[in-house]
Amino acid sequence: MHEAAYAFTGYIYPNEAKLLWSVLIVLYPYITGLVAGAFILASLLSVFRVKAVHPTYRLALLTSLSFLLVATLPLLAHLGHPERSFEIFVTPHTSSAMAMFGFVYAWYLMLVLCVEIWFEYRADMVRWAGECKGLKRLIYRIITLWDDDTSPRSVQMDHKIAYAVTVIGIPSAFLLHGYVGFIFGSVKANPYWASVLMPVVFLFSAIVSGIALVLLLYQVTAHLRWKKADMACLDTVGRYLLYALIVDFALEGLDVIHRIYVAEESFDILSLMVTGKLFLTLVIAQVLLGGLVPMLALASTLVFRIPDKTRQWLYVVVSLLVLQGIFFMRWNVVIGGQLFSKSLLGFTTYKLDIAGREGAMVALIIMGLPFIILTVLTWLLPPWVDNDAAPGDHGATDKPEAAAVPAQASAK
Amino acid sequence: MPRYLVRLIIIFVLGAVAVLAIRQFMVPASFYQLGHYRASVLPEVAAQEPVYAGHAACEECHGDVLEVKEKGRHTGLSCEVCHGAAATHAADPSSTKPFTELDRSFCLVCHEKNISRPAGFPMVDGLAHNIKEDCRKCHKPHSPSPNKGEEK
Repeated sequence: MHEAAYAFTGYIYPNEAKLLWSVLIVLYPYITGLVAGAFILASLLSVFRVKAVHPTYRLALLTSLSFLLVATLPLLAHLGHPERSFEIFVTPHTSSAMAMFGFVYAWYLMLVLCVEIWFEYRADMVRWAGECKGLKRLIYRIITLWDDDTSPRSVQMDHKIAYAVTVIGIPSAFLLHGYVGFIFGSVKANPYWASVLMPVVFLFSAIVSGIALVLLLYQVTAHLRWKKADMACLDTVGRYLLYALIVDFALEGLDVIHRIYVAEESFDILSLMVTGKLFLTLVIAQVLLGGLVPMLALASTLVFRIPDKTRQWLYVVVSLLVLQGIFFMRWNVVIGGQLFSKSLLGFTTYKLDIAGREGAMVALIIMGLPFIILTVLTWLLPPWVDNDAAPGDHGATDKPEAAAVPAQASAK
Repeated sequence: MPRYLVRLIIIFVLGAVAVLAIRQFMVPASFYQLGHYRASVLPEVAAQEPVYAGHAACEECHGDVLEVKEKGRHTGLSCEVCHGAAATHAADPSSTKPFTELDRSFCLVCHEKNISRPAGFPMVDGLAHNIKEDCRKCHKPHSPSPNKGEEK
């Protein structure tokens, strides 16, 4: 207690001394955002027919699933008693935004993402079941429900259903992450959070982070497999990242301008916080390194002729910068919203522990889990699209159009 | 309709039925009776034995201590704030003895310097005020004004 007393500035209420929502609550919107963003990138091909992003399509879907599977872990670790989480499904409380998130999450996981991936991969899994032996064969058999129907009619039907699921999936992904923004935006007692723009800002920052993650993963996996990344694909994904960044940046700018112009009574304390305690994480990490620098770098690829190799490196650096920028955006919202006193006259401090249930180690483990899941998923459901696929590499689709593009043709 | 699609639909229907069936088992019988909680929890809570004896029970035997306390600045505090729940001791004094909180961090729960406490409230900087000393060396918990004789 007396250690904490030294962390106060000005006047704060006793119950504001210790931040209750820690780094784990920062991870929750971050991971959920990556899920929604990766799915939106996948929908560029399946719904909006941006054929150039085809090499990232399946990877984006698997990335989305890998992160969705751990999206609730930070919350469960933070609250303790994970076994009680089922109560929100058993006795749903419609007046609680957080409780209803369980249903939004379950809908998105069970009826959107898993179904879409299943229809996307079904015909391939039937084929792989015939080619593989042992455990893998058994897994494919179970997942394909012991049916080896790969007739053109059934494949066409798969594509139609996958298309329909993606069409439902886009508003669902918007709902999933808009909802996270809504949870913060609807806390009317907190002037830093309470904003109708919050769900929209969260949504676009989610799209930004998801696209950046898939852009990075695509290049890293291509490098690890000794394959050449498709430059046309990288350029297209990079362009969409730029568009999303511009919209996200404009929305956040609008929020800031609105706050400056309206200058409510909380404005003084918030501006003190932004220029003081949050200067590094907000002005430097989020706005400068996570927003302006990536936007300028991406815009430069459209204006200047940059060699492929340099451009590829630029995309890697931009993805990393954007990913850290969005992480700090979540940090600034979650931690920033608890740093100032509701008396609007003082601040407290947040110190990130290394160990402990809410420490950096747990956060790192939770952030690492999706990558382990993704590795297993890519082993089971190879998402790679290589024109120079080696024979027997059943993960590769020999013709990029073979897997997903007919989906558009048949869906038309 | 392809066979795999029929199987998939059956799995989803079975899943939905399973969820509804599990819900039947998991929702306690009295859950929605009075509101969004178990109605049966009320008699359960009411049946619990109180663990606190209350101020009056202490007064019966420890009048001498209370006399000192009433004249001091801790007069508003109940005995059990510092000595813990004492219902079992009040019922049978020889069975258990209430503990006494001796650690200085316990005193600092209320007396650590904190800008948000009322003006004039006795506060000390726990890291500077006679660090490592037992508070009771200078302050008597039952009448805690500083012992002027000992304080330099």
